[in-house]
Amino acid sequence: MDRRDFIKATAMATAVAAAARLALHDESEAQARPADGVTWDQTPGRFCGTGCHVQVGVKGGRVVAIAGDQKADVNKGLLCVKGYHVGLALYGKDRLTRPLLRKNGKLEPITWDQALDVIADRVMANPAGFAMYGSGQWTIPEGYAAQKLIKAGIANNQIDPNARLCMASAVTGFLSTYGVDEPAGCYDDLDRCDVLLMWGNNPAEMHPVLFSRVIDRRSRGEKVILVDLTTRRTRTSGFCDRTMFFKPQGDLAIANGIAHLLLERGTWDRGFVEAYCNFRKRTDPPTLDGQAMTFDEYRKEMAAYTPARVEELSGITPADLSYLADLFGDRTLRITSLWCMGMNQHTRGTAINDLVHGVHLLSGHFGKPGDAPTSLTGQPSACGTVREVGTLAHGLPGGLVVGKEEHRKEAEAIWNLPAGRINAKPGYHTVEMWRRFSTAKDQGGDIDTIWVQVTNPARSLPNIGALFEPSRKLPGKFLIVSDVYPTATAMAADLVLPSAMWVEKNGMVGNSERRTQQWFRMVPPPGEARDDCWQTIAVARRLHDRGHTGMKDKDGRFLFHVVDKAGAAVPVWDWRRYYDVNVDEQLFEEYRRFSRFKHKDLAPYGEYVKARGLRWPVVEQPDGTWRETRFRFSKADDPYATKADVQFYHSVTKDDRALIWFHPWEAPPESPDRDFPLWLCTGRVLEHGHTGTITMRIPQLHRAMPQAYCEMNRADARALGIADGEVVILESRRGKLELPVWLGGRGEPMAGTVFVPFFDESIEINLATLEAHDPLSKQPDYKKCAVRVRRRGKA
Amino acid sequence: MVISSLVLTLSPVPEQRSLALASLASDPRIEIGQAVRDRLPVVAEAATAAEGVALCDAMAEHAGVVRVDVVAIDFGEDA
Repeated sequence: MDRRDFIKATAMATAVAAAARLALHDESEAQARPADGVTWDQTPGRFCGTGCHVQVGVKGGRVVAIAGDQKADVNKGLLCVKGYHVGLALYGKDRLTRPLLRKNGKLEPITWDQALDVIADRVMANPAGFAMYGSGQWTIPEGYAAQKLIKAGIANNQIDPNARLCMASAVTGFLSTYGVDEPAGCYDDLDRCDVLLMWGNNPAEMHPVLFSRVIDRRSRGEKVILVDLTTRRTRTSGFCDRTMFFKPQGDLAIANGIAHLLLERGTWDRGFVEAYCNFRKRTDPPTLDGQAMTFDEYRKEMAAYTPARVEELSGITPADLSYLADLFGDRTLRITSLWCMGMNQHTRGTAINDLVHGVHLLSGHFGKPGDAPTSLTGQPSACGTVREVGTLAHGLPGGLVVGKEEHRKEAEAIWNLPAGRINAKPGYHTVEMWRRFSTAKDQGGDIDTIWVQVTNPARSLPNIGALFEPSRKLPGKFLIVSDVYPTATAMAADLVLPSAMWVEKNGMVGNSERRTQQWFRMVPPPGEARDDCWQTIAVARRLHDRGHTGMKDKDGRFLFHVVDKAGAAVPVWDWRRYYDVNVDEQLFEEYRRFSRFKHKDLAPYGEYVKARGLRWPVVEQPDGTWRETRFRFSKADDPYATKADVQFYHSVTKDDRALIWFHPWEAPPESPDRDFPLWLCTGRVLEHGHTGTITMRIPQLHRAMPQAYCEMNRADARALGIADGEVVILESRRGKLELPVWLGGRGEPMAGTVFVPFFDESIEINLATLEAHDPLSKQPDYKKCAVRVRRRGKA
Repeated sequence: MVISSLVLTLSPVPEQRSLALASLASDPRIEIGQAVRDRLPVVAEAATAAEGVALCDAMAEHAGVVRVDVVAIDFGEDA
């Protein structure tokens, strides 16, 4: 038997075992992988927030094989098509391998030493104007180091992540409803629900491994009702029992309409509400606490949302609304709601999040396996790094915030900082940070340097013609980009730093179900590419050596004091010494001290090495083992819920109750009119992550989905005389672009709407989008603005 | 040579299922295992990763195939 025969025989055995496991629901021990000179280790996937576990085979310093991890709870040994390519993501031909500095308009190679000096010069010249812009693709230690540099060191709080653009409204929704962020439920709900209700969500493409868990149940004969609330027919729609098309912004009316019918029919859960809930309405200006209202006042407000009124606002028929209310009114069913960008990228994002939580609370569909309102994230560590580590401009680790004196004191104690080091004023949120970077200094543009890590704002910001492009022409503005490939942002930068990615470095991430995951470096990065975390620490050390007082704690120790087993300091800012110790472990052990404040307890680093991730709160047991929590706030599973079956122990109202909010339907900031008669919705596709900086470099994925397109309703296209494949001009009041039309393709938007994915750097759809954002979450609305589409050559 | 372990979920419609099995069996790059209920273990062999992906995509497009799950891939020299 030669190597090929051996691999084929092994491959068939693996496939047979997986087929049997899936068909028979057999959870028996997974088989070991054959060695064949290949070293196997486990890691989370790289592309999305699902948190699939992958086995990576390495030989000769290269990734040569990939397998789904059969011991992983999340993906149960399976991968989607992106997983097929995750190993190849490292090997794009144009990896960045040397630092580059723009001189006379051209990026030219420099040394790392020179690059660190350039950054230190910028900080020392104007520390108040220096900002970092990061990502939900930062690992936990990377994000932790970056926010410590900015909040404990430079102390201006000017740091925000791209996750502001994708899930900030979910954060404010959880905070305003439960007093603490992140879902109560977990993926186990998908295995237990009777109804899966998707609110503007397309998991068949965006989270296919999760969606397949539900489809698998159906194929085993279980009855699961799938309902798709959407503005566009998607691959998900094809699996659903009911697909309900609603007008953009109509989701607010639908949620209120369900509540209206529950109240009118008396099918709301009086016992649950009286035991566990209070009512709230918004204030002006809005706050997360809102204003108390009585049940009768709530009922009176909801009285306006009759089926007829909801139909007028949303387009959903009274019959469909009644169907939804019937589901929620039936306590024998278990209902899981899923959402992602559709609800979050919304100028009323906090409100719609509140309302969906409210429907679950009002109907008592909460706190039991399968009964859960659950938001999904799009990036591998939007939860772990952004929400938990606190890389948002107002945040501190563990759910603390810079605006509260007691929180600053806690952080200063853990970081051993002098009292008052942490600035009480939040930094700028993403839109404001980039607006100020793209505004001249004498006109209020007080951010003059931004260091971008692991994201591509030149393509992902809204209204890039206003928020990004002006900065590239203004004197005194300096853009630093750490990345693995020459993205559009990197190519527009003044300084480019080559980064290591995924299994080229140690890492930890946190997925959408509160699961923290860990991996070790498996292969070396190419050329001079180095870990983002090292880059941050090396800059901090350069500032320390220049005398920046913020880079020392109150005892004069370096902010990133890393020691060996004997307790001796290790100069990890020297790249040659960086892997002498496990920097991730030491940062994580420091960080996890924050996790107790909001009952987001994390276990010691070593526990994550042993597990395929653990869902917080992870609490030590009397026998010394560590137990994860699947269902938060539920006495049956959450060790902190001790007083009642359901206990919201971080309640806004300090009485262990969640808040049911009333928010009215409101018009979006821009709607179609005579000049711009169509709605534009943007989004993602199965093959590509976000702006496609990695996946578009994988030839197989590029070939599968090579170019962005304008998806139109066929009736709209006919009316405009537009043919399938024709290149058209799409324009809004902010910008225009040319792109081909795809009719009857993968999806089809409702009449009057168009859809354009944003993965293609060459088709800048964010020239057209709107930076208007939710007043609380500051998350912009990429899902609705007014555009027109016309044939080339036509006025 | 890129070798993939796959599990195909077959359609519950007998005619579509039969057509899918016949179509898969006619491709020399595909080796079919014994189906377990609606799950069909398959090994696909392709010259390059690109060809492997195209093969997966083609299987997924077949009316008799509900979905294709990837279990493992050996990239061989294509990594």
